Amino acid sequence: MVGSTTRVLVLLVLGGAAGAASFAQQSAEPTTCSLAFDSTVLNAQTNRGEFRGIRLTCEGVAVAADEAEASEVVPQEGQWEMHGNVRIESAAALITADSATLGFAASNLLFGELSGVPAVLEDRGTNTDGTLRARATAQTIYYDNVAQTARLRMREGNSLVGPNFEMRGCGDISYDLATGESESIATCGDPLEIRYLRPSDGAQEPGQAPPNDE
Amino acid sequence: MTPLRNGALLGVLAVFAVATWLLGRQETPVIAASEASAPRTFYMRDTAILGTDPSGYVSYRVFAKMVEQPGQDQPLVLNEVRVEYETREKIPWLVTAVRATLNEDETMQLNDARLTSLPEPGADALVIETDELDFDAETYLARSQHPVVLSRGDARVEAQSFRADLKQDQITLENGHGRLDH
Repeated sequence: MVGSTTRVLVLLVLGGAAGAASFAQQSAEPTTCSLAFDSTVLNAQTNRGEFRGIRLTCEGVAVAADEAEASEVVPQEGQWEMHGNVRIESAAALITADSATLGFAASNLLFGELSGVPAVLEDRGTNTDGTLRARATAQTIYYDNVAQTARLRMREGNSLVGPNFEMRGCGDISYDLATGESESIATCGDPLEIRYLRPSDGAQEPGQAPPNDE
Repeated sequence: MTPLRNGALLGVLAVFAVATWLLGRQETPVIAASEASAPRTFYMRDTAILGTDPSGYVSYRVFAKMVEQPGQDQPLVLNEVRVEYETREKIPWLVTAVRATLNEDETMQLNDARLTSLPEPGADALVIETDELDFDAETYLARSQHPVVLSRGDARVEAQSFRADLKQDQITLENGHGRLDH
């Protein structure tokens, strides 16, 4: 189906409204981001700083990386470049990547654009037993901390695995972290492939990496 | 009295007169850094100690409200200290301290010290404060193993140790944390 665009709406089964309510509760008291680091080298004139072992704690979100660069002493209004073992973690989700660009406004995290081989999203939703509601791998993940969405750019070998389905192919997926809903658009000509799994299929757990993943 | 004795007496009187005049002046006396370590006990107000580069040009000035040497072979003790580099050194930093000791090698231990960057117009100054700071004005290096607070505008970072190369405008902090200070 070369040249065509396939739009797919997938509603995951677990945790929808309850997840949204849970996040709203976390967001009741806005705070500014704080940071901790093992070491930093700042240029006093350019205000450019290189951080090692950086940890950011923002409203309901924790960010960590081996290294970071920024033109601010603490996150305020600028962009922070992160490298090495990048993690963005909220109560419900964990995104890991090799590198990321984070954007801040009023000292709060607005977004994170993460890249990796692959970048990984693990969504626990409201699962309290540590199991995942969904697990996705992608070339890039654009995390919107305000809208609580993750936009995944999937390439060959990447996948989105839910409790009862598996999506593979080349496309962009908009994933709602509050509700677990996702909307997908194939972008490489071929349609995204979705396989619904029955329990008798020996369905793959979302927490397991798909066999052909990058 | 012989002419020779008269001459010697006049010389002594002249020296005394000059010394009295110098002590009576309220202007800032200046001593060369190389003289600062002379083994004598003294006490001076409003003093500037000059640091020179290898060519003999003045590189920096250490201003102090009070300088005293508690005893022979003791380092100089300075109060209300301000270190300023000559403009041609292009060191956009001001170093101040409540108290300092000046060693024979011209390094200083500063207490209640503050390093303030002199930024471009419109930019916020970077300020670093710490209880104890080792400072070598000649090599432009400052370091502390004591907690430091770095601030710029509303941003505030605390760290367990730091070092600074004022020539390179480079600040290194270890084990720190920070946030906006509203």
